[in-house]
Amino acid sequence: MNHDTGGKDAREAGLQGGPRGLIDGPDTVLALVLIALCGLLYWVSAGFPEPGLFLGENVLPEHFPRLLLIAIGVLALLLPFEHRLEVDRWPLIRKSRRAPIGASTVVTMGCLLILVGIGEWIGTILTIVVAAVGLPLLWGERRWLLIIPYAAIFTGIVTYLFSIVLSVYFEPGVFGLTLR
Amino acid sequence: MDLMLTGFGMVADPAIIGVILIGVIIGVLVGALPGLSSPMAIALLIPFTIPMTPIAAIAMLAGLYCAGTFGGSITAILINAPGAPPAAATALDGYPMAKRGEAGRALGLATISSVTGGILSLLILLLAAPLLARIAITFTSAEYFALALFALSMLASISGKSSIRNLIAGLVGVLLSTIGIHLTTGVERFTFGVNELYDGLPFVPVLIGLFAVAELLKQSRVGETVFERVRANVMKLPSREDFQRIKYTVLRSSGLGTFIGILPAEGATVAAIMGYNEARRWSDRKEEFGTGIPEGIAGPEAANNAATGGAMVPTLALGIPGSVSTALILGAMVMHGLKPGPYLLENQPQFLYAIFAAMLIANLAFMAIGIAGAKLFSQLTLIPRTILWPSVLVFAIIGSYAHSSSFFDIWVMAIAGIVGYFMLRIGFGPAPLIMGLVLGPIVEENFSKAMIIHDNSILSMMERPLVLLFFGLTILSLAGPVRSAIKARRDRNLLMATKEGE
Repeated sequence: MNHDTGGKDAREAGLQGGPRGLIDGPDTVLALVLIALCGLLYWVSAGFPEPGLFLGENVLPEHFPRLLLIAIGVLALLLPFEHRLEVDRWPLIRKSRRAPIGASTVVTMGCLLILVGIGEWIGTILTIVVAAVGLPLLWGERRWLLIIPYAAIFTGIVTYLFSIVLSVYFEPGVFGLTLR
Repeated sequence: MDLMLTGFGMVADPAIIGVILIGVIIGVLVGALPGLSSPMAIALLIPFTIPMTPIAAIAMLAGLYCAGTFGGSITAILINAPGAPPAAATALDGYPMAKRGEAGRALGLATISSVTGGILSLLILLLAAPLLARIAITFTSAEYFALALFALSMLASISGKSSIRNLIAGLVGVLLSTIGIHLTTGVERFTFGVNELYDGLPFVPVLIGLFAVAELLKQSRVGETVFERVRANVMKLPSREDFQRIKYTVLRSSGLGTFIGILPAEGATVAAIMGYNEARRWSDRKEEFGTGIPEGIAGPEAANNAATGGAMVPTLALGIPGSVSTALILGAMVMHGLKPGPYLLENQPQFLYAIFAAMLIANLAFMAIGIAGAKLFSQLTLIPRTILWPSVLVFAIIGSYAHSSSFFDIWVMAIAGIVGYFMLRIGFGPAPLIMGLVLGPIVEENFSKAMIIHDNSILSMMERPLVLLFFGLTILSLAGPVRSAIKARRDRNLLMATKEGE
């Protein structure tokens, strides 16, 4: 099986100062977080209600998730040593991990969460209009002659298609915006 | 014969042919646009199929799936920017040929190789799926559990940044599938009191979040890319001499691609890379690869499109997806009330012929669309990202909302997108997670049944030869990456020793 997804770049990145230690710091933290989460969910699974007497003869509801949590925990234990095993591909992980998270990404995430948060209040149509106008502006687009026709035509078509053609119920929101 | 005619008749409706063509056009568009992928497009398109009949819905998604793989080769050849990962190998010889002023020839070679690979794999689908289903119908839950476990173990070998991370993501996907009411006992699991989670985590918003929103967040810090364009002259069908040169490459790659597609979890990208490598290995002009030779285009193109038909074999015959795109199609089939697997082919065998006909139409359609519109599709990369990605966001919002008209689903999409973005950063891809999410219910249902039948004893299960075979294959599949890692480490040490020696 060919595992080379990064090609020469990955190999060269690996040669240029890959970590020499036995364990990798950030991956150790990641492994600890995963194991802690598995432990937490294992504890949650202990609180699953008891099935009825007759149904209790089946495999218990917590049995399968617990097996998965144990398997994930065991695999997570390998993560700190992965850079020693995956010499070819690990440099790609290091590269993407080290790339800074841009301010625009954080702002996009924040705005997305705000938009979803107020979506039910402003209604479905306005939510998609705000998305179509807001994201270009957020990403630095200032050509209004491009944004306005795009937002009007595109959201109009999408709204018509879903609301009228596909009969999807659109939440009107406080402004009562609806096509039907 | 009657069944075949019935199956073809199910697709021979102008409305269904229309939706297949729409699927093909969307597939070529998405395939041609770097950043957008077929799985993403399938995830975004699933909500549109809600009011359609199951056949129309699956035909449309199958059309998109076939065309999406081909679409990537247009931009790979004309601007050296593979629109989709399976087309990356095509760029190695396609772009140099186009730069020499033979863009039309390169596009023609890619199209004919793709269509041939696609059609040959469909013929294999037609022959292999019923045979496989006939065998699978004798499977007990123990065999099914072992098979699904083998499919999960194959995640260790799929392309990505790490085998361990692929496996963890796959298991997390399976774990996510346990959210909601446990069907056997009626007990609530991991719902944390959220009523909307009683029926499980909504599938479509998770797909859209992981494939579309996570990619959108990744793109938020990428600047506008300016590609060096090659003049796209009219597409030329391969000459007799070209046909002679590529015929064995196409046949070999079609077989290889179909086989790789059939393997659970392996997809078109691995097929394309192997198709290219094999074309080179069998060629007596090895040193010319990378300079723009026909075999370098035909090899990966025939293989990646053959993998699409191959991947449909386990999806339809076993209910085990052959690739991430077919995992999404499988999810859509379940959403439309179908239960893919041997009983579907046993009870409704005409369904297989209908899918075959839909994919055949899709292959012929993308050949026509590719020939007519290659130049236009290459211009798609001129669409500013500040318009392209907001459109994806609008589709993501409305697509997540449409299934149950619930804002909770948009929350799930947004959270899945943000989690998916951070997962990408630390080397966890969305594909294994989705495969786990799709395979999860199959694994758990059959595990529970098998444990009851075999008195909670795995050893008793292993007395069945097929279970033993699948467990053996699982161990081999998990050992594969370890062997590769050891080999890579040895090669690296050798390279370093050579460098030090110099």
